[in-house]
Amino acid sequence: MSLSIQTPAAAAPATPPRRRTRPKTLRFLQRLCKERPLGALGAMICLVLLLTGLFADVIAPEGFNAINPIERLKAPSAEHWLGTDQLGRDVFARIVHGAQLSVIVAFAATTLSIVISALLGILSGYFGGRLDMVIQRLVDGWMCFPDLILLIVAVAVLGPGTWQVILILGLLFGISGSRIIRGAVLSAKQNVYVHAAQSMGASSTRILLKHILPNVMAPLIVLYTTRLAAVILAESGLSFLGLGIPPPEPSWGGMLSLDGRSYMFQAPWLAIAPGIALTVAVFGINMFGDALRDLLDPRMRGGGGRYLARVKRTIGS
Amino acid sequence: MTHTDSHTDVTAPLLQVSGLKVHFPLRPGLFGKPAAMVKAVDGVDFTVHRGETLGLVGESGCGKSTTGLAVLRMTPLTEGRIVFDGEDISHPDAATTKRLRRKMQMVYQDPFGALNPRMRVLDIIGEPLRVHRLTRTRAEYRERVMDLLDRVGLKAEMADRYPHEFSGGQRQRIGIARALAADPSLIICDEPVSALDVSIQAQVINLLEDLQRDLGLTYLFVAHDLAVVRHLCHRIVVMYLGRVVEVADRERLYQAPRHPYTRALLGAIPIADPDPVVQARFNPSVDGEVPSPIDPPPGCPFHPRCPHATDLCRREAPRPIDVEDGHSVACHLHDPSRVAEMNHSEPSYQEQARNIA
Repeated sequence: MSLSIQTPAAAAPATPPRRRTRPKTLRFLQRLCKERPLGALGAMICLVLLLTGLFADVIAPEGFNAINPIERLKAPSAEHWLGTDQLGRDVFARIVHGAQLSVIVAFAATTLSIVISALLGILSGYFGGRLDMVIQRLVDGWMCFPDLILLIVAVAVLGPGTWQVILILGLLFGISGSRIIRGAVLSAKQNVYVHAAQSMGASSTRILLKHILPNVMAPLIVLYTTRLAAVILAESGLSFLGLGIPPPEPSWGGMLSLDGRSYMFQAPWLAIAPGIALTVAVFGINMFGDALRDLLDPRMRGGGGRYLARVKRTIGS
Repeated sequence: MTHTDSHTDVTAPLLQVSGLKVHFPLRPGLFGKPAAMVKAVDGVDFTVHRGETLGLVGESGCGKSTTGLAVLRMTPLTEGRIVFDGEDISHPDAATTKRLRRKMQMVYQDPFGALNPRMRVLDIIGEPLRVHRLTRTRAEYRERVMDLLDRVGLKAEMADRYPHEFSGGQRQRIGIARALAADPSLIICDEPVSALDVSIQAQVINLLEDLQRDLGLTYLFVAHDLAVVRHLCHRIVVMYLGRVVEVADRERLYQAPRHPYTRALLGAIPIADPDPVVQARFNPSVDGEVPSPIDPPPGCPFHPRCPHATDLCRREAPRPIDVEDGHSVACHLHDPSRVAEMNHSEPSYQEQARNIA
């Protein structure tokens, strides 16, 4: 075998031009719109949700608790866009203010749960051995109890209220979610590049942050978006049992289960309005999450142009 | 790139491995008592001199990769001693380990798995620089990575790309550039070309040779491809079932292999135009399977498959014998003090004929 093939000589300039010129955020948004249009829609829904929450007082200035017995259970009209409930409160105003509470509870509890999942899962999966054994047996113990029992006990101890709900939901979902992250870490740990990093003397912190975490990002994001929906539903369940957000405060879950269920036939808008709000919010979050997962993966780069091309072709023909 | 800190004698061997044993517990029991031990490496000695390429060959499961990992100190030793650059690294403390992690680097077999898909080439190659804090400013870091890219024949503008944008050969170049980044004195290549196309193999081998010439690198080259080993390695260690069976210079090993296993191994190289005279020099192919390293046969590990095996081989493991300068063989056939015993234990054809009559 003759081994005389020349290695390609690289005539490299001393300072090569950097490929990236536009700012990162702008480039990301462009890719989002071009490659994942549904994700862009989801991002817009998330943005609207956030803005609604932030500016609830501006959008519905008369307040969510203006009781007006004469106007009770009115159908949607120009005055009350989404009708009124059994106490004559404007449903639109309650949805808008409920967005505030739902957004706070959902995002705070989900974020907390993801942090707990990632922390437990990564520690348990990466370091393994006795630590893994201890953590996993504790998780087993925790998961033995039905969620509802844990919730009732926790609320009984801590009392009902926004922060208690966030804490308990975050803990509940966080601990069970750590299993999923642990599994992802166990598989990411097997990669040769992790061995390479270890063999060159990289610290565990560095390996976890640079090699393990980015490679379990996909399950983390998926977990986040699915858990967000689950948290909103769990919060509504708690509110239904009177263990969640106390009644005068509007929460979508509470509206759906308390008012909506009782007056389903006389005033269907009471259930439909928060139901649609929930559905749209969860849909938007999920779409945005999926798009985020794909766009953050460098391997998916450059594939999205095809989507746009297909759309153009369809329109053209 | 210069070797600035060679504080020890430059004529002394870079790496000395003696009596190396690496045993893995099989299915550790719940309370610590392992059911059985896999004797992956079971008593291996060899020396790597500065600036040479030592080939470690053998079939799958013979312990050659484990030996590489043990030298890299990525797997614990069961027994034995490893001396690197004049320093005993059998049981290194934290500071020694940190230094070792810089002075020894590894090139992996799988060019697709060895690079983190989420990192840019710039950061993959520069990782050793970051880990050991070898550059001070971002500009210096970038410049150093550009140098490395140039060294391995890649273009500077490739630094901002991700691994999936490269071919197998290019990825292996990236892996080699990463191994060079910390200016190591020993590079352990674990089958670095066996996952590549033959034409790409040649390019990567040329690159490894060029780098050795230019930078004075020392390679421990683990491989099973005898053609590649013949081209690249100065000396070759042949392993079988966790033991060294033969050590020789490249020329001597390929021209005059002594151990029956080496002969069989070389005889297994496919030849485009087989010459019966040449073929006759080697043994006919060996039958059977490699025995399990959990329960290796007593005596010589090769005796169940060896056409020359005698009672002595079944009873007693052979010691390495220097048959020539720098050529040692672990086989009773080549031990002058034992050949007599072998004849005793195995009746000759004449004796057999007499017995029948």
